[in-house]
Amino acid sequence: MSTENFKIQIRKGLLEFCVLQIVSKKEVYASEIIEELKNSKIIVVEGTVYPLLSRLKKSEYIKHEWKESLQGPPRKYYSITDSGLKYIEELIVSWNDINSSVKSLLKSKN
Amino acid sequence: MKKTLTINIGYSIFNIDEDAYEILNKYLDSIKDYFQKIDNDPDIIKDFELRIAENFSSKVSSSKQCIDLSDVKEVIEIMGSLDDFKEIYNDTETENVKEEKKSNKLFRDSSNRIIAGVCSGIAEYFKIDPIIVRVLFFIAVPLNLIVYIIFWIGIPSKDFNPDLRKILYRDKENGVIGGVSKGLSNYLKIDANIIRVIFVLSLFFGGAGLLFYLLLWLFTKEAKTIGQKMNMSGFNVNLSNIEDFIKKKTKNLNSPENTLTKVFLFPFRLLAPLINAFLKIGVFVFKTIFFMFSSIFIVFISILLIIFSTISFKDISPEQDPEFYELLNAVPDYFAIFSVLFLLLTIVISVIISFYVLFKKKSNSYFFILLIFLWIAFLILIIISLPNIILNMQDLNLLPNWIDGNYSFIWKWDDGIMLNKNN
Repeated sequence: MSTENFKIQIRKGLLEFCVLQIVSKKEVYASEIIEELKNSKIIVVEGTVYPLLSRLKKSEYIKHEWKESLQGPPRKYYSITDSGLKYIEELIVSWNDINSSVKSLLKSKN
Repeated sequence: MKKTLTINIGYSIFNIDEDAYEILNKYLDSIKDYFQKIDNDPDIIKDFELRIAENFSSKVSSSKQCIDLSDVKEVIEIMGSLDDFKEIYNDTETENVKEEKKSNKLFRDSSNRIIAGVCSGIAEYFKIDPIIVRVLFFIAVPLNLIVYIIFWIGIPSKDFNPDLRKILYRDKENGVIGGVSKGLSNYLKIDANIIRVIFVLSLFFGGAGLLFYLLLWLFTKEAKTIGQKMNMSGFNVNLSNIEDFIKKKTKNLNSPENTLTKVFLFPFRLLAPLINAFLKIGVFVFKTIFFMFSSIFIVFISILLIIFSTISFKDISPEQDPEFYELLNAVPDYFAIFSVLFLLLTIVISVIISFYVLFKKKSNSYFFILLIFLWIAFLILIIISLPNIILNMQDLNLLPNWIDGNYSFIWKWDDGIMLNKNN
């Protein structure tokens, strides 16, 4: 178990959560999602996002529509669905639970 | 100066260097293959390509209009290699791979074929190199022909992705005679000189090695494109591999050989042009002989066809030539039609095969299969109906006389072909 492996596992677990979070804020297209994830260092390479987006779409948590763009070809804009909103609320609750329990563990150690 | 290609990726058009294109193509193929395994959604790869196009468009300007190798490398770095995806999706991948293994079926491989992809398909099934199956098939004459045709007819074809497989190619660029040894060395990851020594040594022990060498030469293609050169050493598209490959390419040219290798290879280097010239002559001679035989064969069959069709469809009255009339009546119409069609098909098929062997001109393979099918069908019909006709002739007492040589066909200018009684 290296720290690298630890990071990968954590990122993997949180990737879906983060993507949903970004999409829930506003209508975004794939590249914007990628930029934001890269800026917050959740992902290292861009390609990993696409299968995830497809999976979320299939579970009907997000939907997409094509919009004309001023520069270049039309873009696919993603937005969250009602069931996606419900899902993310659940995710936030469980994230807060885990977060607080991990924090308390770290505190009690000290 | 470099050759460029125009590609359409993510609804945008780019000019791209040929070598950069090959790397990109390989990369996309490997990604497609992987994404299909974890989630069979064509949108994934479409979005993926859209993003690559976005990246590319930031790389071109009016002063730099072409995508080059370093751009492709950068984009692969940004998008991530197979290893990166495997890290994230390894759990789902293993599930799907298991499913795929369960449904492993035998297909003909339409992507890597010489005739119908039977050998390559079998090789794909057993996960071995097609060359092994091909050589085995070649050795097992004539049983292989029947098996091959049965497989050809019975097994559906499928387009495998040849880019993701390790394939044995001849490496003529770095080879001495035909590049067989160097190709084998790339494939087996053994030093080429060891293989060369083994081949040379085998010359003194009956020459099985020579036969093996020639067989491999016959059944392998020369690695010409970058893609093939990568395939021959089992290339897996990721960043370090691409860099390795580019480095190797430039390094290989300068790497000096030690004196022992030089001395050892010297006689073969001398021989190489001779052998190559000899082979070229051999191919030429073979083609000439083949051409002669095939044209004689085709002319022969054509003459047979003309004679047969004039005989069997001749209108003749019993008074004119009673013996011939009886003989004609003994041959039913359907048999005559079968035979004529059979001969016609034989001619067409021979012409197609000759064209293929002589000029490497392939005809539509489905059309060819259909012809072969019909040919076999008519052959079977003829064989089935032949005994009845012969029996019928025997009953009419026609056969003995005819075969004894008492009768012969002669050509008369006014009547055409007639049955003539010898005196």
